[in-house]
Amino acid sequence: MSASPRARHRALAAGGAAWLVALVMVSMPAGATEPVPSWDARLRTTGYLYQENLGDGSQADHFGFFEHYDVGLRSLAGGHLDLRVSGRVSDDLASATNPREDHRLYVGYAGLRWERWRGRARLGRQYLVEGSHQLVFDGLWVSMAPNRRWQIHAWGGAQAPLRRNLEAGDLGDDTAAGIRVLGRIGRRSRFSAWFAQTDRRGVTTARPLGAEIASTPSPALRGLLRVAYDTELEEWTKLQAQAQIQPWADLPLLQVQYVDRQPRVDPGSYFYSHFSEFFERIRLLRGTVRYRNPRGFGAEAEVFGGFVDKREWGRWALAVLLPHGRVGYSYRTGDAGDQDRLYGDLDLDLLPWLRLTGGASYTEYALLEQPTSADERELITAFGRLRAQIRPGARFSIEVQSIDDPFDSKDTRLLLGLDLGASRGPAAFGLGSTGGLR
Amino acid sequence: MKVPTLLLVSATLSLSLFPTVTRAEANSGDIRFPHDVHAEAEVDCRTCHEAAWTSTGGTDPLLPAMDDCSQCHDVDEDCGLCHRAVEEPSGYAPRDAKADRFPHARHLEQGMSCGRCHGPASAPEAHPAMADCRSCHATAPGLQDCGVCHTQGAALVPESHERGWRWFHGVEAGLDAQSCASCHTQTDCQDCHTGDDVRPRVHRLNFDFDHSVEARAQEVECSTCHEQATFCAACHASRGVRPLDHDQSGWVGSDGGRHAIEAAYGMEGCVACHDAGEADPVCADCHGP
Repeated sequence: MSASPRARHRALAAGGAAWLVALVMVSMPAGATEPVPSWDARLRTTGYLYQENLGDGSQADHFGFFEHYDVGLRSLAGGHLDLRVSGRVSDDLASATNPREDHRLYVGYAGLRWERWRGRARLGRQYLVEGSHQLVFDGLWVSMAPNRRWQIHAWGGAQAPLRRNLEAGDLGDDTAAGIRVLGRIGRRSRFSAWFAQTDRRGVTTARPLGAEIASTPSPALRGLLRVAYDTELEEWTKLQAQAQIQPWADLPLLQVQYVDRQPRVDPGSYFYSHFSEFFERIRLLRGTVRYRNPRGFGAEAEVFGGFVDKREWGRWALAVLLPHGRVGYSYRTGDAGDQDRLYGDLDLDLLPWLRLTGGASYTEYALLEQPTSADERELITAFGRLRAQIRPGARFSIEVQSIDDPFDSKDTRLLLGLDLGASRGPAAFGLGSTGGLR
Repeated sequence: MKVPTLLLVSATLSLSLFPTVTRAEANSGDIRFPHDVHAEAEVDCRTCHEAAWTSTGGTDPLLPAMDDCSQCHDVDEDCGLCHRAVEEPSGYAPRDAKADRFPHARHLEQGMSCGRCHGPASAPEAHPAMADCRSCHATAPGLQDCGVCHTQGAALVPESHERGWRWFHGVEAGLDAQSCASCHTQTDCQDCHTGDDVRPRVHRLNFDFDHSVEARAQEVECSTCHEQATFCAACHASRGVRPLDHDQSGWVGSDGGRHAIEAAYGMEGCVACHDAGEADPVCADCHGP
């Protein structure tokens, strides 16, 4: 009797994990000095309230709450094991018409480290960013460096459920696996190449083969070239080129970027199966010049162009940079609609323990081609936040957000936040012991 | 499919042929010291670097002096044995010791081998990457333990972080996250970049309110960080915010109407709200399951 694919995948995952643990155990040098464990914990608590104008003229008050947590234990098992979990709990998400989860697990993994080939591994939920291949992933990721010039990453497991709750990804239907090789060319350049496969609901959704090279031939020049070809869809999914040029430190910084990509629509979705023949490639071109003198004054200018089939649009922006803020204007025109936008940002340390940030914008826009005056909208937004460092490890925020637009008419929100953090852990080898509340 | 595969293989092979010079060789100035020859002769590291066993600071001179070489070599007869510029022999290139409090003696007393940090004796790295230090000296966020090895106030920010680093660090981090971990305790992009509805780290302060214009113009690639099928709908559904163009006349018509045109140019936007996971989306009402 043959095992089902799901059972085989699970057996494979269990075998991989067992192999990894065995490798770590074998790699532990006898009598090595053990790093001392450390821990850290961070909590970000936010409560808010706002009033909503309902269609019948009445008003409804909303109170909400959410909590971010991030807890880590490091250097366990003789320095070979770290544990980390991070997520969000909230009571503001569920409603009768839109039932949603009240918890999201962002990451939750055991990190393993061993000496041979500078090995590292993570087992559990994690973010995976390998070249242009990105996903939230439940499984095993391994990195090894046979020498200082080469690294190999490999991963296998399941894509996390879209809701990212405590449920693990389905190894039978939503598998994800891949390999990436990274290397150096001299001291100034790095490159990588990757191949991966992802399935969703039993359908292979992507099989990208990609490569990238990033180089900094001098402090005056940086560059990136990245390409990805999907061997499942048999098409180039991405070409990205960008450069950053600043001949001398006291000259403006010039950045240019070109992106040519296929729309990202999950091939396992309804949209892909019904409408994929209508997809149009997206091409973007962006250029930015920025200068700021040591006293904080300067200017920035940006030009942007977008092209999708016969549809084109463009935007330019100019801003004056000030020591604690920025005032700018941008204008967008083309087939995606017109937009005038006046904006300003502020970031100021009022006292060593008190920081003020804020922003405001006035926007006139129409999300239609050839709009009439009735299609044009005005949007006024404002935002202000005071953040006080009460003591090491404790920070309090108070924030006001305001939006004035044709739909919400007037919406003002008050938010209160408390950030708590603590950590402790000595450095290894008795080279000095530092620690304390953060 | 054949073309990209060939390109990839060719590029990898070509790159692997690039000559490499170890940092130890590149920084040795006038002195020529063939580590591989000494390693092959099974010369112990301590024979030449004896000072390391008592060194308590990163600026201590640990490279062998001519007297040390003379223990085995006839230094008066063949200057070219060690010096590149035989006519005007000088010494080692000046070093810039960043870890100026680094105590070799303390590590050696613990039984560590030289190779643990410097790599193989045949081609050692003069200055180990700080990521190697972190393999033992793991720390927790915010401990600010730079002072263990570095004099406080020393210029520790790498050259790479100058100028436009802020706008390019994502590329570098994607290619060598371990290097970032030398100084930064964040273990992934999310540590810094995850914001929440009120404290965003990446987008401008008012982005929550006026992002729709940029999203519609494809100016930003939302799915780089956000799950299309759930992220957008989370707010739009709970707050009842509909895209403006959905309310225009002729949005849905017998010939498809305006929405068919908009969908062709921005299918990612449709997916953001209407992909209902395993269930058929609202589109199925007309387009069929």
